Amino acid sequence: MKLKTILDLPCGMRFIFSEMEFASSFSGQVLLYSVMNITPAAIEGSYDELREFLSLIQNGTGAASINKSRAALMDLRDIRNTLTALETGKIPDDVELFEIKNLALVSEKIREILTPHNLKSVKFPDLTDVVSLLDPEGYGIPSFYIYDSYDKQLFELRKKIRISGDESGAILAECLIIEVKIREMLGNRLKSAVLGLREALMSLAKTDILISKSRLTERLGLTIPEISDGLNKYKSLFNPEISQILKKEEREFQRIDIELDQKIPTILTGANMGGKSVVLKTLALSQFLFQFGFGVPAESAEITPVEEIHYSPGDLQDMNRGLSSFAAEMKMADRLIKNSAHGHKILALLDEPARTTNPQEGTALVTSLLNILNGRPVFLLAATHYNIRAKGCARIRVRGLEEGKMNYELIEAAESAPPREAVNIALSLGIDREWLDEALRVMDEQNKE
Amino acid sequence: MPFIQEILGCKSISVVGLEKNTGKTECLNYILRRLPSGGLTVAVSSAGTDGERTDMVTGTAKPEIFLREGMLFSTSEKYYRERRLTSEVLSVSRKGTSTGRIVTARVLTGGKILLSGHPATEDLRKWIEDVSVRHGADLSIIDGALSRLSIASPAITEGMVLATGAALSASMDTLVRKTAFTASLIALPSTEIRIDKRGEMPSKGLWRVERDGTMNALEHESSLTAGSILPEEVKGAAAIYASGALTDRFLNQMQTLLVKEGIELIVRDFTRIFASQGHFNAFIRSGGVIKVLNRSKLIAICANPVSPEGFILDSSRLCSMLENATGLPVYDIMKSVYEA
Repeated sequence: MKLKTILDLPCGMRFIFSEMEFASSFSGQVLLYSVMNITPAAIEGSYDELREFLSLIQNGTGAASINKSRAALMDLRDIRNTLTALETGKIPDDVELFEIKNLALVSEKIREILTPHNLKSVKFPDLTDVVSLLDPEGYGIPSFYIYDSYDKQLFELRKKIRISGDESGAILAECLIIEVKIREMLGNRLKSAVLGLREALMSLAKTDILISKSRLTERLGLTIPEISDGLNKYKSLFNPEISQILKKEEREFQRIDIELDQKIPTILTGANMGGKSVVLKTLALSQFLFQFGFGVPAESAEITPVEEIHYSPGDLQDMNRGLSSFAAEMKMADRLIKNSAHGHKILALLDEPARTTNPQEGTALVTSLLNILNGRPVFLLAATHYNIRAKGCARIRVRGLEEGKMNYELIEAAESAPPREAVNIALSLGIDREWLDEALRVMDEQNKE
Repeated sequence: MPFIQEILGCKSISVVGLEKNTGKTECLNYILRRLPSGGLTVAVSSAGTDGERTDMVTGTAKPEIFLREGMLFSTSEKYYRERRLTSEVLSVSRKGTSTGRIVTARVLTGGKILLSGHPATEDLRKWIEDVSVRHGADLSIIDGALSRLSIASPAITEGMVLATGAALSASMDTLVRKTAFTASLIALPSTEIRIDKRGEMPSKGLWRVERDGTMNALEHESSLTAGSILPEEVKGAAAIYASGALTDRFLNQMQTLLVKEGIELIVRDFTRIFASQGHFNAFIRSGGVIKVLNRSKLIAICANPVSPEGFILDSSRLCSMLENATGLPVYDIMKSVYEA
C-alpha cells in the first residue's frame, strides 16, 4: 500500500503530509509513492534512520548541517526522465545537461556537508567526475553551456564572432556543428554515470524526507514507539490535527491512554460527543504513521505491525462505486472476516458498525461479527451505542459528563448496557425541554415493561 | 531617441503591439540596439506566445529579436533549442508551457532568438522579480501580447511602449483613432481604494468593494450574467471589481446600475477592456468612472507606416497626427534619424 492511497482517508494523513516542509517538492512525490512497511525489521530500519536524523537536529553542529542541507536541497529537481533518456542513448541538450550538472552539484554539496556526521541511513555516490565533466572551467555554479574549453576550434570561432561579428551566421553554423559533437561526447561519458546519478537523486530525496520527518516529530511532539507483538498500547495519545485547532482557541486536547489486545475484540461505548470517533481516527492515523516510519502522537507507545488496516469511519458512503453507507460497511466487514480467516494480521477500527439499520438487527450483526473475529489475529475496536452481549470481549467506555464538563478519559466498563447519557447531553446543548422530558417519560415506561 | 532615457528610468517595461505586424518586434529590437552596452544588465522575455504560429502560416518572417552579449533572456525549451546565439543556461522553471518549460539564460555571443513566455500574469511578475534578484537584471523588458488569447498581462511593468502601424488599418484616420483610444485606456488612472487583497486578486466573478477596501463576492458568475444584478446589491459600495472582460453589454448594464450611485468600476488593467470605443465613451460621458488595479506609464508610441500587404503611409503626417491625438512622443522606427 502506498502513502498516496491513504491520503484521503478521513484519518488525517493529509494533515500530516501538509505539515511536512519539504525543501523540494520532488521529495514529497517520492514519499507519496513509498510503500507501507509490514515487517518489524522494515519498521525498525525506518526508525533507525529517523533516530539518526533526530539526533542530528538535536545537537548544535548537526542542526547547522541540516539547515545547510535544506538550503542546498531547494535546488533538487525531478530529473528521472532526463536520466532515462540519457540511459537509452539520447544525446542530451543544454537544458538536460544543465539539470544533470545541477543534480551533481547539489549531491556533492550535501555529501560534503553530511560526510563528517558519518550517517548510516543515506549514502551519496562520488560524482566529482560528472562535476568536472560539466564544469570544465571549475566555477562551481549551476549554469551550463558548451564551454569554450571543450574544444580549441570552438574557442577560436567564438572569439571571431565576438570580435568581428557574424552577419551571415556562417561562423555560428560552424560552432553548432562542433557543439553537437561535444554533446554527443558528453552524452556517452555521462551514460556510464547514470546509475550514480540516479542513486544520488533518490538519496537526496530520502535526505529531504528524513529531515522533514524529524522536524515534524519535534514540532508536533511525536514519539518513536516500541515495536510490539500482540499488543497495541498508547500512553497519552493525542490527535495532532485537533490539538492544533484547539491550541489556536487556547484550549487543550485531553490525552487518553488505550490498550488493545490482538485476538480479543474491544468494545468502546460512551456518550455522544465523548470523542469515540476521534479515538478511532487517531488510532488509524497512528498505525499508518508507525508503518510508514513516522513518529506517533503519544507520550509513549507499543505497537504491533499489521498487514492490513481497516478503518470504517461513521459515514462510509462509497459513492464512486454506488454503495450506500450500509453496503460499504457490510463489504468492509466481509473483507475483514475473509482476510482474517486466512491469517492476515489486521487492525480494524469500526465506528458504530451497522448504525444505519434497525437496532435489533444491528445489534445481532455486530455481536456475531465480534464472536467470529474473537481469537483471530485482529486488533479490533468497535465503537457502538448498541447493547452488545458478545462473550470474551474487552470493554471500555468514555468517562463522560462530569458536572457539565466532558471527561474524555477511557475507563474499563462493566458488562452491561451503555450509560444512558444522550438526554443529559442534549440538555447541555439547550435542546427543547418539553421534548426531552417526554423522552424521559417514555424511557420510564419502557423500563417498567 | 530620447525615450530611451525614460526607459532607463524604469525597472521594467513592456512593448505591446496593437495588432500583428505593427512592428512590435522591430520596436523591441530598436530599443535593445539603443540601450547602453556597458554597466546595465537587461533581461528580455515575452508574455505568452503571441501569434508566431500564424506568422509561420502566412509566411512572414518569424519575429526573432537580436540580443547582445551579456543580456539575459527567458524563452521556452523548444525555442531555446532553436536559438541562434551562444548562451549559458542559468535556470529552468518548474512550470511548463505548451512549448516546454521556461529557460533563463545569459547571452555569451550575440545572435537571434525567438521569445516565448510565461503563461500567466503572476508568473510574469515573478520572473521580473527573479531575474532582478537572482541574476542581477537592472531592466526587464517584456514582449507583450495584446491579444484576447493571451492570459498574461503586460500591464504589470512600470513603463510601456505601444507599437502601432499600417497593419492596423489602411485608413490613417481610423489608425489614429484606434491608437488614441488604446492610449487613453492605458492611461486610465489606478484606483485610490486600498483594496484588501489577502494574497491575489480573485480571477473569477464580480465583487463589491467597500470603502475600507474589503471585498465581497456578488452572486453572479461573470460579467456575462450581470444583467440580473439588482440595484440593492450594489448600493453603498465604493466600487465594483470585474475580474473578467469588460464588454459592450456589460458596460451598458453597469451604466444604469453604477453611474447614478457614484460607484466606480474597477478592472485588473486596460487589457480587460474589450468594449468598443462608442460604448466606452458613452459610459464615460454619462458620468461613469473606470479605474484599474495595475497601471503602466505609457512612455511613447512607435509607428510603423509599412503594412504587410505592402502599402506605405506618409510617415511624418502619421507621426504628427498621432502626437496630436495622444499627446505622446511618436517615433517611426523604420526611420533612424532620431538621436539617442
